[in-house]
Amino acid sequence: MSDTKADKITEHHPAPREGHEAEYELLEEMMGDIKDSIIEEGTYVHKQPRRIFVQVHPEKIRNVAQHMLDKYDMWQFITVSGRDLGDDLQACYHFVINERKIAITFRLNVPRNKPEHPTISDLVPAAEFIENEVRELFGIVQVGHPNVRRIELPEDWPANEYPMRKDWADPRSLMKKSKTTGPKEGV
Amino acid sequence: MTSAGKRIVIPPRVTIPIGPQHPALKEPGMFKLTVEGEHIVDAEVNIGYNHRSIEKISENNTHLQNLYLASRICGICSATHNGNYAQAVEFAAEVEIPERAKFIRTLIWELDRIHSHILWLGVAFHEVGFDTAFMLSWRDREIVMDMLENISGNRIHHDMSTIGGVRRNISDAQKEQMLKGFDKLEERVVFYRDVAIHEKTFWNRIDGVGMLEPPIAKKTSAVGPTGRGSGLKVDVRFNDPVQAYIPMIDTGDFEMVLSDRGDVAGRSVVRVLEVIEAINMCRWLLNNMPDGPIRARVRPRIQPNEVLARHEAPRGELIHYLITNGTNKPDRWKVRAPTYNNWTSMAHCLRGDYLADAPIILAAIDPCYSCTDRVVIVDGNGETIRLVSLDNLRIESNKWHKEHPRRE
Repeated sequence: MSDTKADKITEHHPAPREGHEAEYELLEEMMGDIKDSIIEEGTYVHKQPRRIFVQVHPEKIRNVAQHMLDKYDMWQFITVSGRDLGDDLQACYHFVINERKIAITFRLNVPRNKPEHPTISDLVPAAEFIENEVRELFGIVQVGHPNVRRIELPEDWPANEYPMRKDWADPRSLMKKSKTTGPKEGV
Repeated sequence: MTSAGKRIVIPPRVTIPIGPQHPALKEPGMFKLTVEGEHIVDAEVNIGYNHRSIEKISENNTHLQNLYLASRICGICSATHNGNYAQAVEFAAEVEIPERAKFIRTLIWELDRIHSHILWLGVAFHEVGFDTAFMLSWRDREIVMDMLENISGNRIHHDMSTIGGVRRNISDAQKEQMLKGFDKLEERVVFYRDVAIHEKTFWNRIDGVGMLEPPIAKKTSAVGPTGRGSGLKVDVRFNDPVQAYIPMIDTGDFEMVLSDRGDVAGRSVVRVLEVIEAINMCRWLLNNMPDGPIRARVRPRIQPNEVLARHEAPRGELIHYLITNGTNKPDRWKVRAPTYNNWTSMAHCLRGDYLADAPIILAAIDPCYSCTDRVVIVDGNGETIRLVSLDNLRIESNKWHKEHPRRE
């Protein structure tokens, strides 16, 4: 893989149909049922076995979660990964459908100037901790979250600083300090 | 019955902060328990005392550096983080590693599980005040620690996995030594299983304590032995096999250990039986290990890809979500350690039980904190709780030590 080629390859690697029939079957069922909630671009079956990535409309995430819970008993929630894409922020909700043994990821993009989407913590109580964490580290606001509180960062952390965003400038040189081993200077 | 003259005394509700020093394990986490007399009526879990921003640091590191950073996430299950990061990068690069490397990696994972579960068993014995069994079980844990030291060079932080394979080979002499060690270890673990089940001093303390009913376990997405102790079939080794688990599970000799009890006893039984299962798995791996190279060459620059790597760590399902961007550094790396999912069910387990049972219930999920730097100071007289950042705490403690010089 050369450098010039690397620019053209996207991070989406759709799988061939052979060997991934179960995944395609599930994806097609979903496309039939909740087509209006899914954005086709970015929805695919990954080459790695038993992985599906689904891009959803941010305001429809509750419909999607409710539908999947009712129809497939998708009770096993893994986590939410935040991501900084530049103009957009992304939240990836990872779930596992245990009966079909497929891990499924619902990605939703929210604009950076208004990063809001509905919460699913009331539908999936396991998501309560991690949604709070994504809010404080990335600034993605889950509207309607039942128990908003700090999870990871100190209570005196400034309100408009989101350390996991790529443009976080580290104003108090915390990252630098964390690398020093001896006694800290200026304390 | 209540006559007008009689006074009904309701025990007052008191909120007790337990932690950040964990009552069971020596790691920081805070639990606010609201008690009525001896009964716990409400519980709140606060985590984040140990946030080291590993995900942020990783974005400036190369994949190879992250491999060693990953294993420092946790001291007890370091092999799992290390191995899972390696396999995530391999999935992203679409590289197939040699068969022998797969077997050695899986062997290290299973040895890690054995020592982690025996360590937990010792902690559980200790929490209920059964210290003889605690000391005996930790003595016998040394057998597996010695094995790990023998093949990897380290008791913990083995760092055996690397991108494209493993770093050290296993010789025939080491294999014979290990097989001998497993015979002894199995005999001891069978003994501890019988102690755990038949010894009344232990069993009566864990029977029916910390109930987690299957519907609640499902709702809160319990993973690992916590979930399996409530009868949920969550075991990545069987549901999403990778590495040498694929041929191993295909033999059909191994079964997922489940218990439908749902209490601390169920979780204990699952863990003890899993150790015996893991010993058999290790034997199978050693006896069926193919010959060949142990490492494939992987270019440092990894093509853009997104990978969800799952692995069954001793405490449950471990997730590494890795996004690569064509350079030798990750674009985003998300780690979900198994304990994170078990916190949600913790509050439910505590409710309705006795305060004296709180340490064993807290210990029963085998918590592992990989999470900030801040400290809670509880002022006993004023009944206030103050959150202090690490720097301020350091200033305060330096000041205190200056004012209170050590008495000679």
